[in-house]
Amino acid sequence: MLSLQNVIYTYRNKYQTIYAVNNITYNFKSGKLYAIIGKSGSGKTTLLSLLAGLDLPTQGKVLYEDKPTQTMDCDLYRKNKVTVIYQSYNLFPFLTILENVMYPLRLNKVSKKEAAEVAMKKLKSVGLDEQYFKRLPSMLSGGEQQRVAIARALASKADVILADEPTGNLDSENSKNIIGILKRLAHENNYCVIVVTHDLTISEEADVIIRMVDGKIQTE
Amino acid sequence: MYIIAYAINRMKRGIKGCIALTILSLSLVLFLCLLNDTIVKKERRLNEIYKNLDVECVVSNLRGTQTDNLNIKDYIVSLFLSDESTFLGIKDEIPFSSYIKDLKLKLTLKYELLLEGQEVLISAIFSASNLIGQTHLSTDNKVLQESNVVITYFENYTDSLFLSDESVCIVSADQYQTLPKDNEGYCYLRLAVGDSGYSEDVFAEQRLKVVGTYEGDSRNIYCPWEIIKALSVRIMGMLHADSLSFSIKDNRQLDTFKELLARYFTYVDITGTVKDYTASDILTSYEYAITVYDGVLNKTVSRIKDNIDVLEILRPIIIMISLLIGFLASFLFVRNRKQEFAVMRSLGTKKGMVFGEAFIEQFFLGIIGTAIGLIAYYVWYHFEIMPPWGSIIAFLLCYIIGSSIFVSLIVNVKVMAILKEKE
Repeated sequence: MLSLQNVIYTYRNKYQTIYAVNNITYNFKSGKLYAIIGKSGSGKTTLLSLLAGLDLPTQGKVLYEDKPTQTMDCDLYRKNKVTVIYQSYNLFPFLTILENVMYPLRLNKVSKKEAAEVAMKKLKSVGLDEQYFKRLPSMLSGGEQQRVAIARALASKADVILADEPTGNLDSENSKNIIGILKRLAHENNYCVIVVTHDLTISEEADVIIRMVDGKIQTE
Repeated sequence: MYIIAYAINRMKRGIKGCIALTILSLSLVLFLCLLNDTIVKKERRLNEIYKNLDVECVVSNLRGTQTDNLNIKDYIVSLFLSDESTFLGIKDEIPFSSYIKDLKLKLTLKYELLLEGQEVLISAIFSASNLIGQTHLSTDNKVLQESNVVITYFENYTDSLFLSDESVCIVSADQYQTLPKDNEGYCYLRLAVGDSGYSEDVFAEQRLKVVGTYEGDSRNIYCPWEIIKALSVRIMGMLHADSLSFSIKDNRQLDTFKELLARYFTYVDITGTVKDYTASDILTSYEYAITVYDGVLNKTVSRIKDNIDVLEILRPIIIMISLLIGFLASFLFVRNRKQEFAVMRSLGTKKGMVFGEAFIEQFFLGIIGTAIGLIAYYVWYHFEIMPPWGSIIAFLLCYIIGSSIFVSLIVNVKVMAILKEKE
């Protein structure tokens, strides 16, 4: 489904060329929860950016269904194929919860009414009922906001969910809930869920743990 | 279409920020209008002063102590009366006379009153009384209205008769009593006119109708300048004048005209101090002096000019500051929304759409602020002076172009880097 083929990503600092991702080849499959772990600066987030089409590799290819991201319209790719969840939720502060989840649908030209119906379903699927719909993100707890972010991810047509430290700002109970949702999405809804994390609970729940060291991966 | 709905939604929810931006642009637009209004009004006031404040110039003797009985010669009088003037054989582009208005001239000749059929007794003329021709009553102090001498005009005559070329005159009330009238009550004078300075056998006969009287028993007769001018030419073959004064037509031309005056006159300032102009090219020595009463004009004008000069220096600075504020405001607006734009991009929103959303919002707020500023200016000042459209458009462009540049910069940096900033 999503694979990396000899992917190298470099950037230059003041003194030298840094290999943030160093010749990684890997295949991600749907229906599985992957945990990418590693120390700070090991290249986890860079790898996530490459998988999300937010950046392109310096060398090698990121392939989605055998098509390299270099040849794709990356905006369309993010709109329809992959979706990203962030540690700080990154909801639109001026839109209500429902409007936030409707955003990817409206971007895909789904009518307002239909988008609202789908968004409500997605919100309910992550455990947020109607009382939340008209609230602004600032009125929700961190765990609730992260659920909204997941609902927004589910509202797009994507079948790959990328998550960057999704539990980084949450307490243990909320973390557990979020991990439960992500696991369910992988196993029951056949999503390919790739999580970059420091959280050991996630790595324990993951189907595959990918350890990154100095831009390279070590599979466990 | 969704992006427009998004922009409207965002503006509704972020109303405080929108109001702040709107107030900023309306304040700057209003400020630019008021600044322009002040400068233009001061310029208009300056023009009014230049137009309406009369600067009088009076020809005098070289010390500036005598302004009457000067025997001003033909070449000087002609300068002021002719439609063209030459200097050192070269015709002036703008004739001397076109710089002046309200020319006041006076010339006194001698007259002897003749009865019908009476022969002229030449010897009697030159011991006789004065026939004074003038353009304005005020040129002769004896009948000056300000000295409260009451003048009674017959029929529909007024002071303006002195500017006409009618053969009419006014005489003293006492003299009028003694003059013969015709059957209809009109009084016609038959005069033998000469000049005491010329040979005794040169005289001319002139008939004048009496159309008014002045208080007193003087034997002076006052007639229009044109009559005396014609008599002067007939008697002496040339024109001269006792006194000459005038006002400047366009005070903005004063300095240029002073240079022309320096060809013929030395200069006496209003304190009585004689100052030489640069030596005349055609006159070996000056025969007359001139006093230019421009003190009030200079004082009034210099004060307003100083104000205008300061404002004119400030104007480009203020406009530049306004443009800079517009630019900075748009930068801050965009910077505050950096995260939001990055989220939009990460969800697959095209750069053009992000740019469009920011542009719609910025443009809308800028236009609304500008419109309110202009409406406020209209309500207060009714567009008495048109707004400075150039500066306003430049401000709007800076505001919008600024935000466009910053949005373009932001949507082109790494989305992940922006989104990770908060963590």
